[in-house]
Amino acid sequence: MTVVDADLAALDPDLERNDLPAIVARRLSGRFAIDEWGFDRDLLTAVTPLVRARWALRIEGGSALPEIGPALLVHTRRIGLSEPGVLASAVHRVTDRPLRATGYLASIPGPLGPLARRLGAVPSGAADLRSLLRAGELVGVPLGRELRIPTHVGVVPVAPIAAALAAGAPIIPVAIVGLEIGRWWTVRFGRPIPTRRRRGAVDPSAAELAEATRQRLQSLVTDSRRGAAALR
Amino acid sequence: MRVLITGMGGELGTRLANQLSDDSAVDAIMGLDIDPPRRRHPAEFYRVDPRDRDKSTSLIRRFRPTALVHLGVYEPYARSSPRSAMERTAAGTVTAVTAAVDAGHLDRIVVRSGIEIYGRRRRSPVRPDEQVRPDPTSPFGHQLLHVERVCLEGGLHAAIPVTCLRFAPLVGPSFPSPLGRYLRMPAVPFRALGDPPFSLLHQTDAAVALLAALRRPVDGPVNVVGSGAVTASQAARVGRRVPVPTMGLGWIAARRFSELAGAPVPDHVHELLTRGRVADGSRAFELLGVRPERSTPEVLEELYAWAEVVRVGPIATEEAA
Repeated sequence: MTVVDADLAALDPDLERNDLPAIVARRLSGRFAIDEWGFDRDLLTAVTPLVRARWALRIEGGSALPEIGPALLVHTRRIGLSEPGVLASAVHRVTDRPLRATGYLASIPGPLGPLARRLGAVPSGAADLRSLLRAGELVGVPLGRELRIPTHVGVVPVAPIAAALAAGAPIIPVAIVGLEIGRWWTVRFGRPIPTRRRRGAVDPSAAELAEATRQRLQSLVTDSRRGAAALR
Repeated sequence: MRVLITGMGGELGTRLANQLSDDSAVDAIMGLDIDPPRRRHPAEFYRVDPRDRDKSTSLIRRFRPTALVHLGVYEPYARSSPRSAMERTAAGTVTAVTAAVDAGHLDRIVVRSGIEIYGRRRRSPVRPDEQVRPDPTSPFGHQLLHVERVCLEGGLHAAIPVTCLRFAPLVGPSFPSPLGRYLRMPAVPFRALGDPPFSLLHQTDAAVALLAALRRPVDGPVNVVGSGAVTASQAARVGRRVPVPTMGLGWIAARRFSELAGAPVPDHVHELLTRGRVADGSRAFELLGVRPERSTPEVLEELYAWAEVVRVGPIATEEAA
């Protein structure tokens, strides 16, 4: 048994005991961590086995994800119901870090919206994006929907790209391929696009970075579909 | 530096006056408030109702301040009723700023504001930073917006920096706060569907930020917020209180019972309990050179560690014995 000093555990949540009795004890005493957006790490730990049972993931290029510091994960979507959950599951599996998924999840009326916030979802306003990246979080942003032609990626929103540029956070394109009600999904992380300003170099604009992200995503999606076709 | 502290009778004002007494750059301190200071202090203090404009104006003009620390911002149900809090804050702010600017020597204004100024509309940012435009949704938030506007106009007129310190809800031992009283009740109602998080700030950290802003003026707003967040149900468990899930019309009964129990819930505290209240305070260190030492969970622990009032029976005198 590893004994971890309580003060040390407070400094590094990874050292905290995450077995069921420890989680229940923390819930009863009220001494569990919750962040400013409502993310509850203990709840995420509790639902992780259920999520793993729901989706079977094939993850490629996971080394592109940073272990520390902020990043903007721009991901593809078709209908867009499962993609935030699939991506969050993949990110958690690779880095043990939560994904802060922006989009519809945090705004669902009734009890589902607050539950999604407990699991890491956040509203997609510019101020919250800025604040999340400044706080060093991994933020997931979906592309515009592209329902008619499945091989085409949608529009890359410029506002989150501008927030990443301001925070100096890398942009990681992510292609997510799978069927909405299916079990098997492929999550393919692309090479990060740096946004940190370099001495002597001309700063790219947010629109240029958005276009570069779209192109990289398009090639990721095309490669993923070719790979899937070759396997058939 | 000749420092005028309005609202010095409060915990923050008295603390600041004591901290300034050791500062060699400070030549004189004058304090104004309707309540007397909470402990010994080195300032020249006058007990004045902020609504008494003539008396306040003559005292301020005679003192000729070079720095104004405006703490005369009265939170509803902290030390006064919502109505008198609003009147005292509005009248006191206009009088203090006008008289201090007119005295002709003012070179900085530091004002106590709050993150209630950002409001909590449906599409408001969850964790606003200083770039977010204030859009208050509670009477106290509007009160703070008025205070900031008057101070900024005074600063513009005198061409001096105005530092608006937007504090998270202040809670701590012996600090009069409606939220602190609410959380210390034996039973704490919380929002049943989605208990939202809120951040807190300890009075000591607020006083340190005030001192830093006075020494190093920043022209503009600065959020000062304890790191992390807690929810009302979590707070109740930490304090060994009974968390009571509440929703819809249940809040009317909860607020009524809370008032009867001696902890009336003003609108901005109700808003905090049902919609949450946090802000991005990461720029405080960059701008002021200080960051709150206590996190929100630590502020909460300290609130509950504060001893309850112990009622003792009459002391038997020798004669009675």
